[in-house]
Amino acid sequence: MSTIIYEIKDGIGYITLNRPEELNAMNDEMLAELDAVLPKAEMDLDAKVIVFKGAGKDFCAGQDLTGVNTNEVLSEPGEHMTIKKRMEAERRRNRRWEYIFNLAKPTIAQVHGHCLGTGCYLSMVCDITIASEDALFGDPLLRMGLLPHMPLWPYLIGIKKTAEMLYTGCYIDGIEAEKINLINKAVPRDELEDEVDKMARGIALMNCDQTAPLKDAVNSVMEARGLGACWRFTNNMQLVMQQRTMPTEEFNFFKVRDKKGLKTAIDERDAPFKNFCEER
Amino acid sequence: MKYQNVLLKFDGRIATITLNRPEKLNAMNDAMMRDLMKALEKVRKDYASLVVVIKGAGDSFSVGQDLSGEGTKEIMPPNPREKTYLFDMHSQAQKNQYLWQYIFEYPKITVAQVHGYCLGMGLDLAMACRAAICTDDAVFGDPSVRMGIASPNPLWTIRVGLKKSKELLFTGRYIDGVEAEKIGMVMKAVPAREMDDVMAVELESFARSAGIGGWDQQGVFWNSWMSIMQLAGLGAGRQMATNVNVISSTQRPHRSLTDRGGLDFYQIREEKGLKAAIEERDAPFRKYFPEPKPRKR
Repeated sequence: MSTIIYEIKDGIGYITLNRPEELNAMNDEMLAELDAVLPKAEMDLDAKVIVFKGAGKDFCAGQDLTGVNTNEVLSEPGEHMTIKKRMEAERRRNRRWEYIFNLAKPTIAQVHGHCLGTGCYLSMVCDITIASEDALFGDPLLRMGLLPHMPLWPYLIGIKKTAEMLYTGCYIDGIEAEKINLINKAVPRDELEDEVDKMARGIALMNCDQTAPLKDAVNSVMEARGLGACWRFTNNMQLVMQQRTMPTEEFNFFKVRDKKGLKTAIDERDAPFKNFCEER
Repeated sequence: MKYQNVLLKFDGRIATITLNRPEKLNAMNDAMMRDLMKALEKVRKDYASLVVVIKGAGDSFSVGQDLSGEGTKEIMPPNPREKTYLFDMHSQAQKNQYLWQYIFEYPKITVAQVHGYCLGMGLDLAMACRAAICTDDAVFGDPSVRMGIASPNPLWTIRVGLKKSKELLFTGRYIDGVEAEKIGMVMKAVPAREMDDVMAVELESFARSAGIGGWDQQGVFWNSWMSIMQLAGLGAGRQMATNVNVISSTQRPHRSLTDRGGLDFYQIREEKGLKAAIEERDAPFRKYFPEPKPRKR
């Protein structure tokens, strides 16, 4: 294991995203390792609660957009794939989120630095999210002509705020995220670990097996509210979005990247929005 | 009709039900639940009453289920060591579910006036009321998971939201009135000395709005809101939470998988008494979570 570190300390399981030099961006390798470690963490009797965190300065900057070793992370528009293949990939992606959301164990996301795109999704499917006040949350997928595909957005922060965040792709900080209920709590950066530690140890004290069914009972209200159908729906919508032909005048992130490099592409993607979004 | 565990007072458009076991901090037992139900039914049939206030006598609103093990066969799941049939456990839980449904769907405006402790089943009661107003030093929480019982109340997810519900239910942590207001658990938190004034204003406005079109209009309005709640998953959540509550109460502490032996609340209660059992239940958590206390008066 290299991109995911799994360890148990005092009854708490830690899953650390470990590509610090790439801001812990998710690539195929990381997802494969995550898929391997999740069932293990779920079965582990010694880990009563699972903490997700990022190595280095960030939690996770989202999908690895380099296009290298990212077939599983993201099927790029314009790529020639059969619809069946794309759909299978989409299903796997969503099933992963659904699996973490329903993991038979309490989960905590410990967020600092960037928490964008799929990184943000990971923090959302965790039961509890505690972040540093200066952490950055956002989902800029739409700026690249891709569909944000996390149905939990409106369930957590309501439809108005969801619309605002997804249409603009603007980022918000931890304090704002706490205000709109995207996370449980924002604390100063140097208190983050302590705060998560307290929460995790407190839950690990629970001397019973009841946290798993209790989690099911809480989640079931969301399921009855249509979450199950939403996973399927966003899944298919994303597929449609990837199949479409991009108009020539539209900003094509992937073409720019291939010509001028990733950094330029991201700059060009975000530059037009600078005037509208508060600088974070 | 005489009530032993609640006081019922009619005053024009406003009826007041006071939980009245102050020496036990208004802990709920079978008799109190029955009295509360009878009183609510009486108010329902009284056409002059438009609003009903539910509050607690003495220092607290209610500390929740009476954990003494006496007179609680109907409202509490049985001691897991008694080896009750699953069928009986389930009917017990189902019956309780109907009680909570009755309170939540009550056709008149229900207002919980909360002070002191409001824990476990007391909190379930406050949440089932249409509005809850509390003192800023009131203490809320549901510590039942600390003794191995999962909450049967699906209103958590709906009132408080996914992330905060999980945080509070997984930890059994206590919060004060100010935080309860912030996360939407109660309508507002006010300083204790202002409580009576605030309640007077709120009740007056509730009574006025209830009077528009007659109180039955209010009942119809609430019914239509109720169908939105059903679409929002309340019915399914209720069934699920009830089942989980039953499953949790069949667990024997020494057979817990994750802990492989843990706090046996019932045994400690038998050996050292209720107070010691509650203390042993909560003490380990104090290290990690602040435990707010209501101010002394």
